[in-house]
Amino acid sequence: MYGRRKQFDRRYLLILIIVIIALALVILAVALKKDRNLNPLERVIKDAGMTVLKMAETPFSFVKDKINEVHEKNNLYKKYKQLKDKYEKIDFIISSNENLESEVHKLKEALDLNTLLSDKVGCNATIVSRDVGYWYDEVTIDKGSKDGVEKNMAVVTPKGLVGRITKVSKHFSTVKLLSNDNMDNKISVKIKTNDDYVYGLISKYDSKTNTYTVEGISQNVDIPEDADVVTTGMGITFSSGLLIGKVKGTTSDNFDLSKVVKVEAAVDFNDLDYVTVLKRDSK
Amino acid sequence: MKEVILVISFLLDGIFSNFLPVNGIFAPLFTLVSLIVVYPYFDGDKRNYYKYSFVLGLIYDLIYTDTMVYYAFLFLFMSFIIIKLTIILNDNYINIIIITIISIIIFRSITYILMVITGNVSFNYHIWFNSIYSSILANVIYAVILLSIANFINRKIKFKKSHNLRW
Repeated sequence: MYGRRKQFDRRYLLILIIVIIALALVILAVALKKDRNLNPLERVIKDAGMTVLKMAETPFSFVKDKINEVHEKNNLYKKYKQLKDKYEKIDFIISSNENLESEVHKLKEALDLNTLLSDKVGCNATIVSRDVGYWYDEVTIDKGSKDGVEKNMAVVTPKGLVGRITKVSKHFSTVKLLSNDNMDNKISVKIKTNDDYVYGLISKYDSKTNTYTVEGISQNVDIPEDADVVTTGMGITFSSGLLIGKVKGTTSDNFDLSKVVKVEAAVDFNDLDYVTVLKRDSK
Repeated sequence: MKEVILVISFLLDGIFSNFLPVNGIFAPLFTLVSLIVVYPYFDGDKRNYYKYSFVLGLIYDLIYTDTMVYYAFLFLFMSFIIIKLTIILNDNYINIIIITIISIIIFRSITYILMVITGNVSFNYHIWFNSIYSSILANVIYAVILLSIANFINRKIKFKKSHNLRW
């Protein structure tokens, strides 16, 4: 009798495991949907947990900052020389920038334009945790809805575009990086050729070589190496003029109909510490 | 004791992810490792063990990955496998390492296959194997360190108890 009962238990367990796996499948499909918002309970728990994590992280980041500082001090003189060269040019750039800004403003008024594709305001944030689940290519930053962060805003570093905001809680928000292997929404970009821009779409990212693949470029356009690749601002999420990378090489596609451009990412996704969240400035 | 190990490992998961490269050869899975190391301290109380792993998985979901209750069920399943494995392999260092490696392979494979089925990741052997071998090194090292610390503390507590009893 005891043996029979044990056998039943085992079969029951098997069914239970299958049900759990099926359930897990459904949960994963629902939870990873692109346009899902966090529910209030999730938001509260995430805020609390991340606050604890941030506190636990302070000593570690202090040590890391100190190590970075020592590294920086070692090549201080070299940096100083570089910066000096740049500093001599900066006055000129600032004055011409001011001039251009006022010109844009005047033209905007003249044309009665309310928004430009390139208008944006920034908000700085620190990264709290990076891609713990391994598959999701997400980082968590310490700015949330309280600081005016909203879904689908662009996230950048001084070097270039990093990703976009996908989930927001009160004090923290999640950024989906551009480094995921199959991008769910393609990004429209333009490549600067000699006198004009060529438009294309980013379709893939390769983490080994840190390059994007840009598709949809016509065969008879000449694309120079090291040309800048920036966003166009024609999509829903990103405003125009955010640097994505530089052209590394071109090949043609399987049918010899269009060009495929390899673009080296401007950002090193392995080394992100501080980022800026940009929002479109629409008054 | 076991609660402290679990909570510290859970926090270390988040902290270490922040100081290691995203696509590098060290991918932390310390929460899973701590579940393996902690099992002997439950003295065979499976029900309690399942409860702990479920709650841990739930917190993992809510704080780190935003996947509702997926990891809660996965951790529950992993704790079932860990129990089965510890019946065959009892807890010395080499067996803990073997259990860690087997559970990492199962953990990553299940998640990867489910992600492929739900269409979030495209199927590629390299990505799959990469996810497994990048997790093994760091987590085996962590398992050994955690086990030696836990054994050390446990011995001290036992010694203190027996000392108190004698007096």
